[in-house]
Amino acid sequence: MTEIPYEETTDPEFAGAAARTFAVETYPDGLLLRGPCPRCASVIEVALVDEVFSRGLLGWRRGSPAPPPAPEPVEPVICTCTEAHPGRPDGRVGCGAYWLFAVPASPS
Amino acid sequence: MTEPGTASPADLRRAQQREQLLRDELPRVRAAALAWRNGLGALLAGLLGFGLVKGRTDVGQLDERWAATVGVVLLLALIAGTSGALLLLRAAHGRPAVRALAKLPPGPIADRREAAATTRALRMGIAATLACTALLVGGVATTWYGPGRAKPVLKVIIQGEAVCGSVRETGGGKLVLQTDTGRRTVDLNGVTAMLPVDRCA
Repeated sequence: MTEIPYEETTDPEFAGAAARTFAVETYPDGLLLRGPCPRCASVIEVALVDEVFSRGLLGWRRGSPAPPPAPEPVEPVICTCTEAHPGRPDGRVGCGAYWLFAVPASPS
Repeated sequence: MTEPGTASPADLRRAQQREQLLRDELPRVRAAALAWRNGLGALLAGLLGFGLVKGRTDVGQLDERWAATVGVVLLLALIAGTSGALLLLRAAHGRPAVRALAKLPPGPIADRREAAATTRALRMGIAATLACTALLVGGVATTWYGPGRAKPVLKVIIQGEAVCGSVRETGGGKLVLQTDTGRRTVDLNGVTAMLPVDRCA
C-alpha cells in the first residue's frame, strides 16, 4: 500500500465526508468527534473542549466559575492520525488534511 | 446542520494549535507540578534546615495556654504539610488506581480529565504547602514572643498564715519571699509547712 505523503491541504469534499461519517459524542468535558479522515481514511478522535491548562495556573477563580461556553458551531479540524506520512514535520500529527466541521446543535 | 464552508490556512493553524495544546497538556501540567513540588520542598527544607524556623528549644518553657496553642498550630501545620505533599505528589506523578476498562473514556477526553484533576491537585497542593509554611512560621513566632511559663513559687505556713511568693534569698534562719504585696521576710523557725506551688492563689 502506497503511503500518502503529508500535505497541508483541504477540499470542500472533506467537510461533506466528515459530516456524513463522523460521530459526535458528548461528555461533560466537551465533545469528541470520531471518524475516518477524509484524506487518509485513518480513524481519528478529535476533542473539542473549552479549557486547557496554562502556565498562568494561579488565576484563582473568584466566586463560582462561569459555565463553559458552548462550542463554536463550526470548528476547524485536522487529521490527527499517527500513521506514517512521508514529509510530516517533527511535532506534527496527521496527514495534513484539514476541514471545517459543523458541530450539531444538540449532538446525540 | 449549517454548511461549514471551506477551511482557510488560519483555520488550519487554529486547529493545529488546539491539537498541540491538548496533546501536550498532561505532560505540561505534570512538569509544572514537578517544578512546584521541588520549589516548595526546597523552601520548606530551607526554612527548617537553615534554622530560620527555630524558636525556644523547649515548648515547655512557654506558658501552658500558649504552649497548647503552639501545639495546635504545629498539628495544623503537620496536617497541611502532609496534605500539600500528597497533593503535589499526586499532581506530579498521578494517582495510582486501577479502573475498569469499560468505564474509561476515549483517550483525548481521559487526558483532558486527568489534566484538569492534576491542575486542581496542584493548586490545592500549593495552597496547603504555603499554609503549612505560614503555620510553621506562626507557631515558631509564638514560641519566640509568647509569654514564658511562670516560675515556681513557695507557699509557707507560718503561725497559721500562708505566705506565698518567689524565693529571693535565704540565710541565717530567714527566708525572703517576693510576694504580690512586696518582700516578706519569714523566720524559718516558725514555719509549720512549706509547699512549692505553680502560682499563688
